Amino acid sequence: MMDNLPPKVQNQIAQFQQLAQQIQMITTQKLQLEAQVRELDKAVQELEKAGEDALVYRSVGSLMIQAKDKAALTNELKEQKETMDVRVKTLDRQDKHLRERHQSLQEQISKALQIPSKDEKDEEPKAG
Amino acid sequence: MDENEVREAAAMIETAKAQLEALARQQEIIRLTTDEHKRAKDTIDRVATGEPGEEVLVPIGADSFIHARISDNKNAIVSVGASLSFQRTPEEAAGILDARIDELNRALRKVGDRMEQTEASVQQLSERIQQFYAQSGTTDDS
Repeated sequence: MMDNLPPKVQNQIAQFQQLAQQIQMITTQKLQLEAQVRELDKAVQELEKAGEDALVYRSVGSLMIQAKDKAALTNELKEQKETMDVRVKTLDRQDKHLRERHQSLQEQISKALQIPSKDEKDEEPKAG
Repeated sequence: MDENEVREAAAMIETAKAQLEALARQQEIIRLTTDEHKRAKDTIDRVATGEPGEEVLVPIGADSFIHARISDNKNAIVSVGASLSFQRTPEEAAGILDARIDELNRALRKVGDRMEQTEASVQQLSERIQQFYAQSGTTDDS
């Protein structure tokens, strides 16, 4: 079926599929990062409400090592969270940009294949 | 429904089927995680009711164990995420694990609901395609 299409449209469809994959990848990355940010937030909250004598351990490889300096640990986690927040924002911008390109390509392909887009269908006068 | 819409519907069914597979995988992961949490809670409960110095067998993988003694049965270490774990009393630890089990059950229900919705839309689209082929007198080879 693809062979019957003009090369320009074939190229647009390939780009469209690539963009869809990229959007999927970015969405997955964003979800993972957001989950990590939530986890860091919760860990910071727990550290802040923990008493002086609370025992805190940190996983290092397959070992758990007691964290002696809670204040330093809290700061370290907060810094990690800030870095991740920046990465989430960057991914957000990329996602928005890719979705705009995806949408525009979809419109171009629909036009080339003469498939009415949803908006155009809605505008069609009703029979009768 | 015209031929373009049939093609669109067939593509949507393919996407929905891929989503269903991904959701089934998620469901399996949630079930396994829930079982793991239940095992951890049972272990904490059981150790807390025993005596310090009680002998246990610690799994080291590959269905193999080493002998060990419980040196402290009044505390457990529970992860809070981000590679951090806190020492808690057995009651606190069990409460934390129970809360997580509830959360996992809620997630499992959500995934189940999404699967039901997706299955319903696959069913609906398939019926529409079959209707189209029945009306046009051709067969659906997809």
